[in-house]
Amino acid sequence: MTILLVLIPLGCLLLAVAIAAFLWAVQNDQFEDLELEGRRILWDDDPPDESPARSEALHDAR
Amino acid sequence: MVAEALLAPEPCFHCGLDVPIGCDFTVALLGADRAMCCVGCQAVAEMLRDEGLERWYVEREGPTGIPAQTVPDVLEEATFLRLEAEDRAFETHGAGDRVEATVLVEDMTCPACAWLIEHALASLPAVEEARVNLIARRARVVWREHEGTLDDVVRRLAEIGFRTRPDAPDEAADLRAHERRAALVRLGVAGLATMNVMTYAVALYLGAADAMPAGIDRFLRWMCWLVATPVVLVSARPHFEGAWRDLRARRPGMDVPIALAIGGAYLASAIAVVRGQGQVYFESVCMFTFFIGLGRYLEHGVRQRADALAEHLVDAAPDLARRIIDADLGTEEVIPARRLDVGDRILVRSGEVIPVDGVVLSGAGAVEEVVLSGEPWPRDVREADAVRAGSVNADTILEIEVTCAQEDSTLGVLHRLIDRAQSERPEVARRADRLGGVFVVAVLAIAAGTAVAWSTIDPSRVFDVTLAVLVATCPCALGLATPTAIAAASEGLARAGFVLTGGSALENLARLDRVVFDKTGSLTEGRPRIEFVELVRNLSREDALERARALEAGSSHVLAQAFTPQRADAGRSAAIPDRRAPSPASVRDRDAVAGAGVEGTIGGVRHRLGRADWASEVCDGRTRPTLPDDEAHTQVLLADEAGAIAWFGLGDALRPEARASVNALQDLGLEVEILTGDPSPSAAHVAAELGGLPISAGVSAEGKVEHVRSRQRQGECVGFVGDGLNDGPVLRAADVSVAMAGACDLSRLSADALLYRDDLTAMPRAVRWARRTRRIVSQNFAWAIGYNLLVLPLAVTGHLPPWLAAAGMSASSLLVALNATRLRREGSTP
Repeated sequence: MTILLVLIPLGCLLLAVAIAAFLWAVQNDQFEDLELEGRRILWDDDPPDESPARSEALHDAR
Repeated sequence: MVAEALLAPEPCFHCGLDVPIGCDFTVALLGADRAMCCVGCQAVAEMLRDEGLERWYVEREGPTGIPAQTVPDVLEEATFLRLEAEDRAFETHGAGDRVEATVLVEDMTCPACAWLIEHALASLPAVEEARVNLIARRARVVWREHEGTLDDVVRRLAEIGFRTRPDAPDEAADLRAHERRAALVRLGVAGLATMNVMTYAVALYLGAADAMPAGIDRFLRWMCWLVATPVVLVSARPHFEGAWRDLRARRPGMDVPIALAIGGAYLASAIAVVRGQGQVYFESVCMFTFFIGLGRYLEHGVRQRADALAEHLVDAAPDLARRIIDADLGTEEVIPARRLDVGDRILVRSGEVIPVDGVVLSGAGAVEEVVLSGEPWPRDVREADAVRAGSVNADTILEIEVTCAQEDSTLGVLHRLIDRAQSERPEVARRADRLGGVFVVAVLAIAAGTAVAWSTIDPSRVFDVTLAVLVATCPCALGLATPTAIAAASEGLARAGFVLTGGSALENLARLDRVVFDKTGSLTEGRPRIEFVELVRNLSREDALERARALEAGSSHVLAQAFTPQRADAGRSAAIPDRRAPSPASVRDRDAVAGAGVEGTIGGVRHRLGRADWASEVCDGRTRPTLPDDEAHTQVLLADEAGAIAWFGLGDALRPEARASVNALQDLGLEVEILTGDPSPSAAHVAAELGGLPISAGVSAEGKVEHVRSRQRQGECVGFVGDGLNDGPVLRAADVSVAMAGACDLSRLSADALLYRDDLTAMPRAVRWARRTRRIVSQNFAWAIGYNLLVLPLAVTGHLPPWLAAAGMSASSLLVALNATRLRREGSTP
């Protein structure tokens, strides 16, 4: 049972870390937009500027 | 000659508005030719296709409803932004030559828009990063200073059809963001701590039975205290502050019993820990704080979304003014209205809102001051007359000298409007507040009585039982019942295109018995269209139309709109001439004659378009054609020196969704009728088309008010749908007044509610929504009161431990809040 005297303070330390992480997340706008970020992962294509070949091809087509 | 119907009601593939007659803009998209309504939409669609962003049309949730901007507007906006940048320096410089700015993007409605904006901006060479926040409608852009400017960003967004404004530092918005974060932090701390305290508490409960070693037992109690302390100090702080405020104001609020319960339980438990004997309630304290916080956070979020939408609406007021640089050269520039100085001269076109207070220098016309004075009739103004900010120029172009800076004029108007919309709390919410106050007093009295009673029955249990009573009967659920429901419904309605601006609109909508439509601008488009062309001379129809358009281009007369091929009403965008028409420049010596028509010289020949007798004077009445026998349309004649050319029949077409909306309202058991000031037979025609609605035509404004009042005297609750412009008195007389957004910018806010997207189907949906809101509010009330009455005897008699009381009360509040959030979505039941 005496192991609890070590484990419970350890748990409290973890709690402090969790609260600190949460505070950091809130201060860094991680909770600002909960609607869009879920959809963002579904946008699978690369931004156009990272595929110069494709935009050049489009340019030629025009 | 054949009278030809010219209406082709095909929606524009880009924006969803009707493609006007005589327009032929198509773009090959997603494997088919798609019709576009204007050059702007065509340009945007082509650009998206060529950039490989065609997928937007698949991802989006529907057409935009707003035509793409036209090129001159883009220039205006870019100028506007640069000026704002000089003023406010809202760009921030980062490492190297990186510059960062946040722009507010209007009309951004769905994740597909966000996708489009991010991809379109990322394709600019100078832009390093573009990130959209959909909720705040803002885009944060980082670019390299030497390769581009903010103008490029704005122009790019305009190209794909989004209007932008600089993200002006807004104290109110900052404060809201700060509050939201603070609430989230409080909730998170309470939640995380509660999880830990609960594990210790469970160990204590079990340990008490299994005879845990005394040392461990005491250790766990100390740990409970340690972890619960931040919850009380951080998470429960607003309750203590609220209770203190309430007590000082001698107005018992919800926070008083909450603070009493949390503070009392915490102190008693702390004493018990120090003395090493007695019950601890730390887990109840934490759980109670967490669940109350959760309920409030939900309510806060729902209300904030509703506020943001309302704010967006007020933001839509025009912010630009046309300043005259040189009157002789006729040059003007577009600048932000707040940069106008006293003594500047500005031009205000017909239908525009006058941005500042001033004096008319030239031009004679009429201004509407519904917003300012409530007076519905336009006031005639001529030279040297004063005009006020917020009034609408109803007639011809006015040149105005500024006499008062904008801060002192328009802003005053806007603030009055916002205040009005926000200060009116719904009657049902006021009732709930009063009831809540009574309840709090009752709870405190019962708790005191219980304490006294138990001190004689069993002094050791006084604290235990009193705490349970305080917590169990706390009227939190009661306090949440109405505001959450109203906020959730307001937000849902606003997204459906129905924006509430008056406090009691929602309540009255639910008990509506009769809907009265004003014909002009509500059931019909409120905008003349060419319904037929009847040629008199052997000339092609297109030729006649082109000449008429050229003559009317630039004219501000109401009927001239019929000849403008673009839909100019939905955006702030000015109509631009059809590419194929002779440009307005080819018409010389254009002159508008009030009450008659316009004349001008096209290709050296004098043309006139207007009233038949006046127009045929141009050819000395040589050919004086007979008027086609058709009473439903207004007829104008186009003639040149050689004789009459063509008749144009102008009519006010029925809105495409009018019929379905009227039927839906009737299905909801409402009476529908038409009340119009228009004495012409076309009103009866409209009524017949809508399935024979009862109609009173040719009714004066006083007559309309009297009509509505007489219905109300029969005990009916009457709603009035009008264009909100010249219906001021009757809008006020009706129980619920609804204005169409097509009306001028500010005047629309004089109604209780606004059909934001000019879509009539939102009306029956709103009625259904309001009825559902009423039902959900009643459910919430029934639950909150029923639950409290149920647990009260248990708590008073000592059969309810404090932790169970806290859990039950919290669950009850949560249930009420979650029930209300159902109103954010449209229900299927009537």
